[in-house]
Amino acid sequence: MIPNIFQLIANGIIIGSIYVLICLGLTLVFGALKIPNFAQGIPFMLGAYVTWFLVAGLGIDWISGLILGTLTLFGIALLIEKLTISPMYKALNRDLAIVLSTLGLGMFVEQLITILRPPWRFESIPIPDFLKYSLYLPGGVIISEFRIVILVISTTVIVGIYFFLHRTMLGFAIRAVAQDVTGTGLQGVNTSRIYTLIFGLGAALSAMAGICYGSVYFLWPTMGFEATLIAFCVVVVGGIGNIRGTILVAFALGLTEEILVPWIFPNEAKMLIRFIWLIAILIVKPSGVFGERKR
Amino acid sequence: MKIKSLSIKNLSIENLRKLRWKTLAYAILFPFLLIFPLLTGMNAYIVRVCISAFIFGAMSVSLDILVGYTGLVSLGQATFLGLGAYGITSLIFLGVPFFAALFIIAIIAGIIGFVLCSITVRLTGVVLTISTLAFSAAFVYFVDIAISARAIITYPIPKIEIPGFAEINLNSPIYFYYICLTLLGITVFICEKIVTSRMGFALRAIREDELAASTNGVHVAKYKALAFFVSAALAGIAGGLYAPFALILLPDTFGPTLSIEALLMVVIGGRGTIIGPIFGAMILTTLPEVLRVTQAYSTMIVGIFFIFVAIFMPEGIVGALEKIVNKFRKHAR
Repeated sequence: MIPNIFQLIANGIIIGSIYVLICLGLTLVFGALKIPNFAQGIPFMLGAYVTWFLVAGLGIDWISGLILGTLTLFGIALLIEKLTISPMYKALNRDLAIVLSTLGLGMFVEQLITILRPPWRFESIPIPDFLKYSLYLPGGVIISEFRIVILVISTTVIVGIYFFLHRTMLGFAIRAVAQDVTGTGLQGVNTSRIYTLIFGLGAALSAMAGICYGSVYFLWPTMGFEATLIAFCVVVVGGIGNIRGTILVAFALGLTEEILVPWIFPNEAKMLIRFIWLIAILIVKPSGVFGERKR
Repeated sequence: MKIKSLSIKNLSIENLRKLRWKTLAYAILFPFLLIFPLLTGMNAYIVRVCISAFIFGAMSVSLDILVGYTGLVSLGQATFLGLGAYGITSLIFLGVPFFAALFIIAIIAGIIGFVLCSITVRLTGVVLTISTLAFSAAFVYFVDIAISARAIITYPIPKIEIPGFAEINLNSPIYFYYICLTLLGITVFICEKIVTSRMGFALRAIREDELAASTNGVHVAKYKALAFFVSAALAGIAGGLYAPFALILLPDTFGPTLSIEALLMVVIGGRGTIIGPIFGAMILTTLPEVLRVTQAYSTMIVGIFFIFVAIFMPEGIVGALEKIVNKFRKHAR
């Protein structure tokens, strides 16, 4: 059977829009703070579990669950940044110390969730009934309404982030910190507060991605780490801190993966292609597809 | 443009002083490890934990050449361990004697390390880290596909014959303990020789500032390739001993998780010290065993331990000790 190419493209765009949400958060933190944040997967996983608890446990509707879960993770991330990451900004061995503490944090939270909710339950966040239907689009494409909601959410977030970074004073401050921390500090911006804000923002975006992912697929405690690996690849290929590049590469990754699915046999081959793709691009252009050239 | 001057202190005198302390530390550590199984009454369980600490110690010491001395934060070290493990298994199936197989494996792993270096030679910083991580992940999936999905390789236990002396059965943990201790000793010796040699100075110059090093006549690409070659070859040998230790090889074992763990061993011990990663490996392998009493909470405690080390000892354990010693020295003056 020859698969419908339009269906594959539609699937790829939906998957890409989830990737975009994860990668946008990472590229913000990566670009501004210049730290390899291995903790980016924690809000992804924790956000999904918190929303699952709110929606399935307390019976709140899905949209409020999404908003509440994102806000909760924003708050938790601010606390985490103050406690476990900001003490290391001045350390001589900054990058490696932050890798160490973020990985430690990841281990702690993952194990906590494993103890609270053992991973073999195959549960996902319940979605509202009226979104469970499928749409039949021209070209023989069948898409569930819920996946279109995800696409709408990620488009809104992309536009929102763009306006936030380019039209508000806080956005200016964030972009300035990404360029030069000392210079921004001299202009009277409280850079450590901006760092905390960026970290929280990245976590909120990641949590949103996790909630969408957890509504479509299942929840499991290490889902965050796997998402982080993908996000790292996308962000590096797109050019670190380059938001436009990240969005395009995330969609490109989603599309290539979905289009290759019927032709590439074992799932491992798909993963292998993902990483070989990354290495090949970095050989050709070390600063990423849309990265700026040094000097 | 930023111009950083090479800190000469960092390159020579300070390190020579460090060397005196380190010689003392080695002189205490290795004899202690030599009699350690006798102290515990040849307890097989403790011996096995020690063996894994030595193998991972050798891996992280070899990683320290890259991370600590050349400043290349690589997350591909587990790949070379895996290469060694799978390589030696297939060579022994082919009938190659054990030590010859170890030698061949070291060369092969070194060449793969050289290939990885030639791929990533233009990359710096976080981009290098992520691309080596991708290499490490790609290796797992490659092995998964090459060896039909999820096949488990069980290991033929090799017999080592030393002509006219004895026949060593690797099945006995106590023989294996001393073989692994020898491996660790040799790895540490080679690494110490390298970092105090002319090559070590070149590597440290690259770490401090690549541009300044190259203007002073250091062939950056050549020394990076050499560092990768040595580090990969030593990790390959460690992998060659991992296979008869673990007896079962799974591709996932050598994935990103172990690579990250190797980096953590270096960071926790103190990077750029050689002796630090040994302590890091010992702590990371024994801590989960000690915490076994706490059952499911042990991973959480290890996580908190990581955060604690990162906040209070960002230079690692050896770095923190050095700081304390220096403080006392200042008071003495």
